[in-house]
Amino acid sequence: MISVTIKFFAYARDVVGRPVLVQAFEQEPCTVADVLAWLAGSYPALAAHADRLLVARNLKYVSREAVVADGDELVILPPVGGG
Amino acid sequence: MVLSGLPESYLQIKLVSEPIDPAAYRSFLERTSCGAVVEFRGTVRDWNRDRRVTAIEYEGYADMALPMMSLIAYEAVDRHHLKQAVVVHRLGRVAAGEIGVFVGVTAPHRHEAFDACREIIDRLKKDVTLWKKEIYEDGSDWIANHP
Repeated sequence: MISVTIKFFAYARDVVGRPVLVQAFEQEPCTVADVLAWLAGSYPALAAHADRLLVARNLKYVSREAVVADGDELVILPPVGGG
Repeated sequence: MVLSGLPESYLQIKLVSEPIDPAAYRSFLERTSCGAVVEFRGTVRDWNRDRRVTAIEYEGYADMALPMMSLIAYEAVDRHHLKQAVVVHRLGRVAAGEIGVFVGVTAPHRHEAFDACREIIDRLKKDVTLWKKEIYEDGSDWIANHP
């Protein structure tokens, strides 16, 4: 089992109701897609937008297929809206 | 609060929580007599999608936003032979009519300056981890940019 810290910005944070949470995952290997699937199941309002969410780790975007390690911090980024 | 990007002598990259005063950047932009100065000021519309907008609340993931803003400006400097570039974006609540983003560039010739200014604001809206929530008289909504 691994423990993952998940941070949220903007719309995603509003839906989740807090800026950060820590969640355990039993899948091995656990991928970014697994984390997003858990989020979509836990927060249905995110499910409709799941395909458009970007995910970053260590300040770099990661793909859905990337394997998540114990202690990783993932950042959930909705489509941007600056300017 | 002011968060700054790369400390290059020809770039100013900032996320700020105070109002943006374009005049504050003119001495920086105009310190070389290089032919063309182009500024873009993005202001908060008071009406959008049939709703009256009173303000925008901007949010940023600064750890990724500042390096990306710096990269975008640096590449524009390189591609368009700019002498200086300024990219400043507000965070927090910005009232209708106020400036949310300011881009200023200087180049030897107008075509380079216009092209660079447009390239910077277009890429900023597409690639920088900033978000906006429109505040209406009767609610609010997160608004994503369209690629």
